[in-house]
This record gives sequence, structure tokens and C-alpha cells, in this order.
Amino acid sequence: MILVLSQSSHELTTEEVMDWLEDLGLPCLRLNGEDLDADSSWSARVPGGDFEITLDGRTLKLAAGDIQAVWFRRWAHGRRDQPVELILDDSRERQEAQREISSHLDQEMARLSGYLFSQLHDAAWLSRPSITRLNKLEVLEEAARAGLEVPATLITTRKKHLEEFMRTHGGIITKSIGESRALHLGDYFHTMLTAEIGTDLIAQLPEDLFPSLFQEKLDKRYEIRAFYLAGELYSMAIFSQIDDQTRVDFRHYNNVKPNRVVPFKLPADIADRISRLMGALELETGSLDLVKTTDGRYVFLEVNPVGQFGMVSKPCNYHLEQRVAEILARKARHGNSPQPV
Amino acid sequence: MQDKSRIFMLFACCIPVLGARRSTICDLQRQTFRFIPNGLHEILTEHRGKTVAGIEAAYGHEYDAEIAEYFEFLIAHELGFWCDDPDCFPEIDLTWKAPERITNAILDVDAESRHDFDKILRELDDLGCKALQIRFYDAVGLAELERVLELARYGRLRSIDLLVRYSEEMAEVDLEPLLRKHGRLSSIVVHSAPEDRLKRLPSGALLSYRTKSVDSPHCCGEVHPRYFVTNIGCFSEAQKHNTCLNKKISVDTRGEIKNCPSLARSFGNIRTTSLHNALAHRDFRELWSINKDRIDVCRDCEFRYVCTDCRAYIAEPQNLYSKPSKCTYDPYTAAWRSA
Repeated sequence: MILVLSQSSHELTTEEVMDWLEDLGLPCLRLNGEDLDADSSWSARVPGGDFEITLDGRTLKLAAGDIQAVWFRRWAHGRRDQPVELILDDSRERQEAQREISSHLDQEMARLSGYLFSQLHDAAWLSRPSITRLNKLEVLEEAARAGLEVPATLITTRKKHLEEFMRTHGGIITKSIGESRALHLGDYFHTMLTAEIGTDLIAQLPEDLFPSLFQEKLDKRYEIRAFYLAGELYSMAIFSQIDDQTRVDFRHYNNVKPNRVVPFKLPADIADRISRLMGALELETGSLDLVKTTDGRYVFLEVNPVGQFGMVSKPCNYHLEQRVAEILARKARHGNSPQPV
Repeated sequence: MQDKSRIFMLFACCIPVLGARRSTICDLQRQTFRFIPNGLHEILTEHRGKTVAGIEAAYGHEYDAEIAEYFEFLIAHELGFWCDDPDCFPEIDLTWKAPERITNAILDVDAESRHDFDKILRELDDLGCKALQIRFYDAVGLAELERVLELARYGRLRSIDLLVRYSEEMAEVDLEPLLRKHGRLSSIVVHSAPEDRLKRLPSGALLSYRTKSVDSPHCCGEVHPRYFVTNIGCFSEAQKHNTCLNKKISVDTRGEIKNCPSLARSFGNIRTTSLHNALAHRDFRELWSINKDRIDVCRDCEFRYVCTDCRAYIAEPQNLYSKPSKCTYDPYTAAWRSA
């Protein structure tokens, strides 16, 4: 049995991989992160117990011994935001308490997920969840060691150093050091995408900053999104520079006239260095962002260990959903040993 | 002044298709197409990868001005780009694949039908079917629609399209809640309605009332630009497969299992056999591989990979490879015959 760990909505890719698994004659079971929250009923006895989950009136036993392979697609432990009843009167205290409790319950769900994953330790995973949180800065170090060019990067708390950096590189951008988050305030989603920083903005900053990341702004000819899958590399070029809206960050999507995206073949030496990087990071899958600069250099930006491969697979007609199913099938049969499919 | 050593490349999602009189560039990403003269088709295919100077020389410098104009047009419409590294930009692989044994189905119903919906839906689910159209030629009650939709609630179907005959029970206030409740329901079209009216719900689902009556499968098989689909899925499927019948299965009003309700041949009745058995018949897939390149006239048409086909209503009933009879386009004159 192959276990698919996913989330309940916006997951066409999960369904497509499952269709391919069925085509290969492999039984699979999908568990969404949300299935562990209050809407389902389930229990596990420690130590050594199996998970027993009742969903839609059906009870199923998740016995570690029955699971040969696990596909860690994604996992939103989506504790639904029901407010907890409180005896506090003060409205500010109530708000704070709600926030604290909410974050505590999230942590409880995360621990629980961690236990479920560790019980499945002996199965062959396509990407173990323990490695899905990378440190962008460590990755840049590792990429440079693998021979990839990386953008000049400064992390500083000193405005003076930022101004120097600006003078050296002309244009600069900022982005978060860790994962970017979306803030849901009122009717709006505020996302933290890459943004260009100008001298006007820098002038308004205080002398001392919160530790922040800055990078040289690259003159892009086009951008490259590459999906690395168990030693294979599937790349796509994104022509983000024709459109002002997408020049700095192509995720400022233009839905009316989407950026041109086409199949791309990275030069062999760049592909080799990417393989070396993925080996060093012990990643079997990953979505990599690179830039081809106007002066012809390939610059590595970052890697997302889970990554949406649908956005590469569909426009380039790579059929990666089938490829993922084949790799899971191999894992289910032979464990993690690296055998060609 | 253009740099003549440059190489022009079409974006791989913009694919030129040669017609008898004119050609198209099918834009599979932005889901549209543009007409181009056949001369430009030749430049883009036979002289692909050459520098501007190389192309000009190939035509003995007779058309330098036209060639410059062509490239300006293509750049202005974002169909291609000046490319410094052509080896990095392969053509798109047009291999079509689907894990489902059946991708789409039609189920016809009239007043005399005695379908076991539960059985049919279970079998379709097992075959992996993703899209289902149910056509009710005669009046049907709201409760019956609700019952059928409930049976499809937990299956693998992604979209259900309903065609129903107008009656008092088919009012907007009754059908809208149905569309909201069943996320898989992508459209309800009400035929024989008192007026033409169209409403799109926030979810994207469509509720449409049409005065035209649809009382039999004979109303199908129309070929018209409004049915063209320009995307990578359909375009790649059309390379080697029939654009209507590939991986389709149908059950007609009497329960006969067919490729399409409009076709004569039955592969057994659903009361006595299963969809699986019908599908296993060696002839069932015969029509699936009749692509447009094998059909008379269509093979010379610039729309052949974005157009729907029909094998039920054809120009010469004795010739399985004749063009759809309801198509009024003539690729040799590039004109639509007015109906």
C-alpha cells in the first residue's frame, strides 16, 4: 500500500498521481492533514499502536507494516479556526488568549503529525518531512559549494551597510529570510513576495534595522523553474520581463496575459551542479528557481523541497504526475534502493 | 534596423498548423489562435533555427521586407522571441497520455428509459471517468436529478453537465441551489425553455436556458468555432486520436452501450452486460484512433487540431473517413458556407 499525505482542497496534482498509481495497479490511500482534526474520529494507542481513523462513516486502520511507500505531497494540519470559549471578560485579553491557545493547538497537531510520520519511518518516502524545512541561507552556501553562481547577498541590521551594498550593486531587492507568509487581514491577503528597494525607501529607514536580507537585483533575460525528481531535471523558462507587472517577481501573476512559459533545457554543466547541490542537501525532489541574466549567466536563487510541479508539468507537457507515480511504485517494490525505473 | 544575425523562435506553446489556403498559429497557453499566410508557415517550419540573414538568402532576397514585417508581427503579438541560445529551447513534446480507461461519457435519458443509475455511475467511476454529460430529452423531476447527483457525490468524476427539458420544476430558484450543492456540476442547460437566458455563478458553474428544443441525439455533431478548444490537452490528443470519441463511452435512452448515442452500433445493453465488457470488445476502440489527419478535407484544414470531430453524421455515410456533414467550412477557399 502507498500512503499519500496531502491536503483536502486545491490538490488536482494529488488526484492525478493517484490515477496513475491506479493505472499501475498499485493500491493507495490518501490521508489529508485536515483528516486528523476534529471533524473525523480517530485514535492511536501508544506504544506501537496502529492509527484507527473513521472518516465518512468508514473506519480504516493505518498499520505501519502495511505501508511500503509514502508520498509526502503536502500536509496542512488544518485545525479549523473555531474560537475557544473563554471566561475572560477583557476583550484585549480575550484576543491574546485566543491567539496563544490557537498557536498551542497548532503545535499539538504538529507533534501529532510528527508521531504519525515517525511511526512510518521504515517505509520508503518520496521526500521525508524532516527535510522539507530548509534554511535559505544554508542553501545559498551549499549552492556556492556545488559551483552554482548565487546573487550577492547581505543580511544586516545597519542602514550604513545597506547603503554601501546599494552603491556597489545599483539595484537591490529584499525578501524574507525564512518562508514567506500570507497575512489575512480583513478582506485582503497580504503576501510577502520579492520586492525591489529604492534609495527613497532606504532614506526613510532608521539607522538600526531588524535583521533583513538584501540581494543584488539581477538583470533577467528570463527565469527558470526546474523540477528535480530523483536524479532527473525538468525545466521551464518563464518570460517575465516582457510584462512590467512580473519583472521583479513573476508570482505577481498577470492572469489576463500570463507570462510565456516554455520547455527549457539547462546546459549540462549547470544541470550537474544542481544534481550535486540536491545530493548535498539530501533532497530527492525540489523546485529550483534560477535566473538567466542578460549577460548570459545562470544564477541560482532558491530551492523549495516540496514544490508545485504541476506548474512545470502542465505547460511543458512533461507528464510528471505519471513519473512521480512510477517512482512511488519503484519505492513500494524495492524500498529506497536507487534502481532505475 | 534589425540585426540580421538574430534567430527568431516561436514560443514552444505557439504551434504553426498548415492549411490548404492559410495557416494558424495555435497558442496553447493563451488558448487562442491567429491566422498566418502559408508563406510564413514555411519560414517558421522549414527555416526554423536559421538567422534572419539565412532566411532572406534562402528566398534570394526577394522578400526581405515581408520577412521583416512577419517577425515584427510575431514579436508584437508575443508569439515568439529573439533567441540567443536556441539549443536550450526544445519544441514541446506532443505525446498525449491519460491514466483513465474512460475519460468522458454520455448518458441519454427519455421518458421510456429505465436506467440503473447506481450501476452505471459505479462502473464509470471504476473506469476512472472524469466528465459525464446526462441528457434528459423529456421532462424530469427535481427529485430525480437530486437522486442521480447524490449517487455521483463521492466518486472520481470531476465534472457533470446536465441537459434537461424545461418544466416548471426547472426554475432558476430550484436549479441554482443544486449547482451550489454539487461542486462537480459544471453546467445545467435547460432546453425548450420559454426564453434564452444565461447565468454564471460565482463558482464558474453555468445555468443556461435555451428556447431550442433538444429532443434526440440528432441535435449533436455540430462543427463550429465556438466548439474549438485550443489547449495542450486537446491539441496533443488530436495528434493521434479522435477529438470526440477517444476514451468516450455512451449509454443511449434504451440502455445500448455505444461509442456515441448517435451511432448505430451497440456493444450490448447495460441491463445484461457491463461497461467493462463493452469496452473489452475489440471493435470498441476502433474509432478512437481516427484523427483528423486521416479524414478527408479535415486533413487539409488549419483548424484540425483544435476542432471537434463527429463520426456519426458524415458527408458520405459509406465512407468512414469522410468529413463531418455538419461542418460548413471549406479549407480550400478558407470560407464558411452560410447555413
